[in-house]
Amino acid sequence: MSKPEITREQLIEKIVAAISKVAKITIPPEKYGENLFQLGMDSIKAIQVVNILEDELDLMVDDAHLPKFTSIDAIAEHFDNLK
Amino acid sequence: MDSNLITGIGLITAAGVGCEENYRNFEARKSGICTITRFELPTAKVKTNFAGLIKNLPNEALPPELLPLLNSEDLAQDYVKAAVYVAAEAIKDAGCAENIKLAPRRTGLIVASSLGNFLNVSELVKDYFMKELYKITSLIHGMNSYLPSRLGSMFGVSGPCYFISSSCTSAANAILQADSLIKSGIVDRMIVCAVDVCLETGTFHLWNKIRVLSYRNDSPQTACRPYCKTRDGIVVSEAAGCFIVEKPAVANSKGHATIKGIGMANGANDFLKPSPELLEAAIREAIEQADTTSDQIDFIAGSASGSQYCDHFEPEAICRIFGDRAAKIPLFPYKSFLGTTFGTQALSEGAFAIRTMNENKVPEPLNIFEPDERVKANAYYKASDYSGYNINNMLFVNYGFAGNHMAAVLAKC
Repeated sequence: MSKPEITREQLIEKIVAAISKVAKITIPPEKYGENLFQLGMDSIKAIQVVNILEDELDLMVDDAHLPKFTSIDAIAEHFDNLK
Repeated sequence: MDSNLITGIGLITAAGVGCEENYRNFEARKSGICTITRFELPTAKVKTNFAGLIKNLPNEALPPELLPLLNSEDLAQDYVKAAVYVAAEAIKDAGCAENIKLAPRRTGLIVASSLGNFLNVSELVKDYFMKELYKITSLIHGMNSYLPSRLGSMFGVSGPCYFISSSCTSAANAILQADSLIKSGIVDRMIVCAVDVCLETGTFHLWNKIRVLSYRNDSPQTACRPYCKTRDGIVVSEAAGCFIVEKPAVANSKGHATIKGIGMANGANDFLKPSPELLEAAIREAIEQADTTSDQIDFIAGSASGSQYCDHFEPEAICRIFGDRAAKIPLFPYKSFLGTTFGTQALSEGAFAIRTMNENKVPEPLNIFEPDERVKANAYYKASDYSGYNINNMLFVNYGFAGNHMAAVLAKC
């Protein structure tokens, strides 16, 4: 899996848009570090978000990383750290 | 009030058709879980390429006297044929066919399934949108009430006939309902049938996308690793099973097991994750209903599936309930052999668990490669330590998606 060729801002935009599409919630920038499950996500919605990101970024996410995807910042961090 | 008996068993899994073949292959550890060839695999971003699929059932596998009762569309669907096969096997095993005929309104029938006749519905949608083909019979066959109605008429049942679905606990709920209907006096006997024959390209793609499957494509038979530290997901498997549940006064046979108590606790706060508290509540209720104590339980058929995130909940609940004895009672998950058999689990896994109890033969743990330090219950025993062991009562645990948690205490007859 290689790093998507977009900026971190664009990446966050995509994550926020995916969450909005799936969970119908808009997360403001000051809450990017907060736990998504406390902001209205659940496990099915989280999987749907990851599936959307896989399609949009044209990559595959190893499920072993999913427990780390607790916040928007954590998801962005994961993709940013890809080589 | 006397406890009801399980007097007949019918079974089809990826490991075999009929109880005997299944039990033989369990001894030989030939699960039938393998790389998929029956249907085309989805191509887009799909990691898993194996599952447990039941073998195609030739018409000749069905009892010849039942064949004329099945129409061509029934015979085209393994969902229907598998249910007919297991029901016929269980009725024969219980020796209750004549009793059903003598008093048809005293027998009822429940079909349990997680996904129901999903493949037929998929075909219906394809026929309609892609071929502009309007098959009214597809609609009828797609109704969940079709199969209980069909089986009921085939086997001469005139008591209550209906369908139950509650994800992986569908069959357990069906047994609970059957037990309750008999105890309430409405019927003397229930045919409890469960069938989930539901895998094809589309459904398998969706199971991949829900991200719960094991990826061990190089070793399908060792992929399902409940309680093992190296577990990486569940293995989906088709199956069908049937129990005949009867009140002792009308049973023609001694029976395979006595239903002592059933407990349930539901709460779908998160569709995919079980609740440790509710699981514990269900187990405690089953033991209480059985009018026994945890000291009397000799064997636990666990429900763990190989899920990375959930398997440790169950041993935690067992430890809280059984205390020090949790480290001594063998805990065996039949999914390590069968995979996750959708809504049929209480019948498919249940059949194997009952056999374990009746033969007093604790199975060797399967697909454990490294213990998980979070699992403190006795999942890592050696079968040889239990030679000469007596299993008089066992606990069967069953949880699944949608917040369903169930448990049953079964005893030797």
